Amino acid sequence: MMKKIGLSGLILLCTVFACTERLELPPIDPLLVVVGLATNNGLQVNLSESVSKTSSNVFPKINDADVRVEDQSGVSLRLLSIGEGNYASLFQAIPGESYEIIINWKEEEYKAIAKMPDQVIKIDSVQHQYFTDSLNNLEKSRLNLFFRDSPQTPTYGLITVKLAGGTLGDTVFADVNTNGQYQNFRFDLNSKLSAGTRIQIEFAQLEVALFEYLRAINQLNPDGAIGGLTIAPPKNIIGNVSNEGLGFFGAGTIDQIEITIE
Amino acid sequence: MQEKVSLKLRGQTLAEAFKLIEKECSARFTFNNNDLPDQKLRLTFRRKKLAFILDRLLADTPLRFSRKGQYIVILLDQNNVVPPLSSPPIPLPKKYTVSGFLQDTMTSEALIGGTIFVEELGKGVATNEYGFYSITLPEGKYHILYRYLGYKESRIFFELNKNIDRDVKLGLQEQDLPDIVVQSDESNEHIESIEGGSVVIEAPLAKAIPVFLGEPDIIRTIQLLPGVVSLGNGGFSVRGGKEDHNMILLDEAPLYNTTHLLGVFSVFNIDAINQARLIKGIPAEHRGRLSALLDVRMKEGTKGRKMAGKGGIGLLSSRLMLEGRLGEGKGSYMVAARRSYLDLLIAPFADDVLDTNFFSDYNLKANYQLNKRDRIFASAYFGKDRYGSKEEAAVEWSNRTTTLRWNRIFNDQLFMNTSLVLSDYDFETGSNFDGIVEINTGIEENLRVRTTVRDFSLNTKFQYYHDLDKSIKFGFSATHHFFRPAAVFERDKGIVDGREQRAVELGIYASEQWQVNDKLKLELGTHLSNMAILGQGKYEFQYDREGGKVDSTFFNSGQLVKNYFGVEPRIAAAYLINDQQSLKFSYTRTIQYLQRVNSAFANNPASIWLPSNKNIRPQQADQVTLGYYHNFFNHTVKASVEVYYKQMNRQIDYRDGALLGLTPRAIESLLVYGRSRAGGVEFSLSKSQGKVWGSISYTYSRIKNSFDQVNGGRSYSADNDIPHNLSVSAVWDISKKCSLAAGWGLRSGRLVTVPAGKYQINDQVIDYYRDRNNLRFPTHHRLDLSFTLRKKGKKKRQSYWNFALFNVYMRANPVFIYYDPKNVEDEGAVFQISLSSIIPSVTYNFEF
Repeated sequence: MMKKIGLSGLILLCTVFACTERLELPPIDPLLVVVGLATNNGLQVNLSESVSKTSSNVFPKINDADVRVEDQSGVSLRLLSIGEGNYASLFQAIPGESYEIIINWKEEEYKAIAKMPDQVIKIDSVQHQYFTDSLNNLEKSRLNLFFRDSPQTPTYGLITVKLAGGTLGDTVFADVNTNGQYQNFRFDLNSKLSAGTRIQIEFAQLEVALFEYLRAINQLNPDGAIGGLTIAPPKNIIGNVSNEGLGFFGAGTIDQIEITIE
Repeated sequence: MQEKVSLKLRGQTLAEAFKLIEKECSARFTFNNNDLPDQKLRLTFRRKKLAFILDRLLADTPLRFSRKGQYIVILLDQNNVVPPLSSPPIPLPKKYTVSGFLQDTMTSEALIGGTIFVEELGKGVATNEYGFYSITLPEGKYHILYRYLGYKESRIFFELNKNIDRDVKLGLQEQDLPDIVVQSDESNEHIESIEGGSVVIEAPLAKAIPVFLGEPDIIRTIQLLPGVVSLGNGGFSVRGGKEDHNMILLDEAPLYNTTHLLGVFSVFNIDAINQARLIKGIPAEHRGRLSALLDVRMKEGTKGRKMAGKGGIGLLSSRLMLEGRLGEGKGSYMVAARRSYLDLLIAPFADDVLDTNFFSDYNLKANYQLNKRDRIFASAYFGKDRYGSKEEAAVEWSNRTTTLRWNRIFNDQLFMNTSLVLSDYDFETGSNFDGIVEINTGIEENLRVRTTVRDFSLNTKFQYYHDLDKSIKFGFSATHHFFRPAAVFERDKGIVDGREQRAVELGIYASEQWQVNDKLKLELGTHLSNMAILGQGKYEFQYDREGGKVDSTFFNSGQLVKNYFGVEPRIAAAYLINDQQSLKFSYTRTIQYLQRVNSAFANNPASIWLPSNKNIRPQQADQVTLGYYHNFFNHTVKASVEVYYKQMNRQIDYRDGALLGLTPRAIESLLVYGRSRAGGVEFSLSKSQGKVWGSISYTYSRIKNSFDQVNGGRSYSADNDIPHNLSVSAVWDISKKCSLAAGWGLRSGRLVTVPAGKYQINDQVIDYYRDRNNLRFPTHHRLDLSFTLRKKGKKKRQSYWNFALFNVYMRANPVFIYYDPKNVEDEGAVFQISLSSIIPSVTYNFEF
């Protein structure tokens, strides 16, 4: 809105007298970025580097780090680099247990701790239907997930819909007041799935810290004007990686279901 | 005193010797004939310094001399007068008062800050903000000199054996200046006045210096002063304060937004303004802001003519002012109007813009002398800005002020001013700006958002002139504040969502200024202030450190929610080293009960004003200044160096990531609290006479913020931290008909916060920040030139053309920086918008 005020008020001055030029900001040393998840299906970690603000959106992947995960008893497991910055292990994390990731990269050590939720929430069923999006009048797909949430603790979920070759969409939700009840979660996709399409729905119950981290990312203010008419001050998304590392190493219990669109 | 004089005395008396010296140089002597010995002198001096000659002439007398401006005052040296033994008690001489107003001969306009100088005593006083003066002296014969910048002085002889009312009128000097100038005259007011950091702006300098699009502007002129920093948005920061720390008064009415066209111009129509005085500190009789006072007075209107006028036609706006006498010269009026025609200019290129893209303002003032002791004034200001289009709604804001004033002279020594003041500020934006309403209410159509600030005040000030060496000011004020920040309303239903706040602010003050001895002048004062926040028949919430609600209390309408009380001492001292040099010191504590919550674009018309409440405590500042002042060349060149340190407590800022929108229902939850420290040194050099005159000022200053919850608790530079600020302005009066002016300024860029880098999480690109305010805009510098051509017509008619070039060497100075994280094509690109063109303008001004 304030941009519109600016455009209105300074319309003559800016169009006639102003010029726009691209500004280069000073380069910075890259930081380690960790995206790691310990689940009952295995351990997955992706490592990349941050870049300066004015660089293109190409984030170098890190394949030469030493990545280990240690459980509460001190047993350590080294993850294998499988390319594109990914490290993995088939080790299945146990609900209720804590795990520490230790990453050594460029003679620096980074650590983070994740705690698995106490139990796995199972998806009972998934129903697919079409609906018309009132914003653009387009027909899209809607998924209704049926499950019973955690009886004692709030549920912090991440639902991811995957198609062969990529992710169709994901969303996070919190369910703090309906412990142990039967739930129907509606997830509207941004596209229409055609009949015969086979999709995989993954339901991850996340530890609270990871959920808050992902929610903070979703709520990032998109307004980018600075020194001009913007309103929101800057904010960092606070992760749990030590030594100024960015990102998060978290844990979640996962259940998956596959359906074919009819 | 450095002038060299040749003098040959062959039997002349001392009095005759002084007259001979006056013929040889520019000095003028004042003395009491009775004090001078009658002895005949036989002395010869060949090109000796005046001080040397006077030392010799007075060597064997009980006399001494001191320099006051161009005057040399001959006085009896009390240390050399030996009272006779067992002398009889000397009866105290009776004292009488000379009082009245200092006015313009032609217009009867009050001359504010004029000097009234008693030659025999070498001392003087200044007229107050209403043009009134009062001097109480022992019975005797005196020559009193009345002076004001740009006016012929008047020297009046008084035989004081009774109280005398004397309104004195001064006529304009023959001069080339049109009508706004930073005041400077031949007097040594600069040296002797107790107020450091006080500058008077008159209509001739603002018109003389080159200005953007040829529109003379008081705020632009103020931004050239040392210690004053422009952030490029039409406002100004004084000695590390924020823009909302300045109290800006127009005929005693506070203005909450002083900009037109988003800061390109100010609300002050130059033809409607008599004088503006900037004080870089808040004097004892004022309250409510931390940093500075800008006291702007409208013209009263001429009493000399039935009607006179003044105006100008510029590229962007035109203005007209009419004035004249009322009744049989007992009163006068002034009306002024100004309107921009941006809408007319862009109409050929865009539809639906007429009556929407413009600003306008109107000034009205009238006064009437009821009798010798009572005079009443009424003044009003209406200003409006409106931008956008009729179809898509518009953004608009307006200021409305009304002042009713009563001046009463109770007796020759006691003056009173009582004012009733209304100030009303509204900012409103239309419904079709998707984003603002949607963010906060989820409702998108047929809505407008309006912010209102309305003050109603009663102020009474007394000034008691005890004698020439002592004066006392005292008074009280009461203000009812009404705030409705960002209320959402529907055209048919009225307000559908809004929060109102009311508060009553009270103040009582007293200050005394006295001349301790020939060298030392002191002023001590204090202002006791109080703010009572009143309930609105709603719940008031309290928030914890993290912004979470922790308590709620229901308050009936008018019930006291919170009361704050403050003591604000003010101390000032001036030590006269000699008649050309002085040292000045001041300490002020100020409290501000109102807060302005800014967007990153300071001075934004959409900024929100709030009173202190249970969560937001009043701001407080302590400022210490020390200055050295030196006049050269018979007071025509003035120099000063001032250092200051200011600490501001209970400052507010947004917590990281706070999303304000425009509807601050829980704005307290978004704020964090901390302190700011500012310090700097200001250099100033100005020349006020001759064919070439102007000024140079340079300020080095730093401002640091410390907020526990910002920047990881580390201290960081404030966004208005502008370390270097240099201004040079010069005017060359080529002839009576034409002059050339130049202005060049250089200042460090302001600070903004930009991401240090970015990273990727699950295909989403996320910025990360290291430090607040980590990027400084490029250094801002610019040269402007203007040429003025004057034409004098018949009778009172005159006109002049002003041709100006703005940004002569086309420096690309940044206005703002932006980036769009959603723009995939540009990825992380950051763009700088700059005004880079040379901008010519021409303005035609006239008087009749």
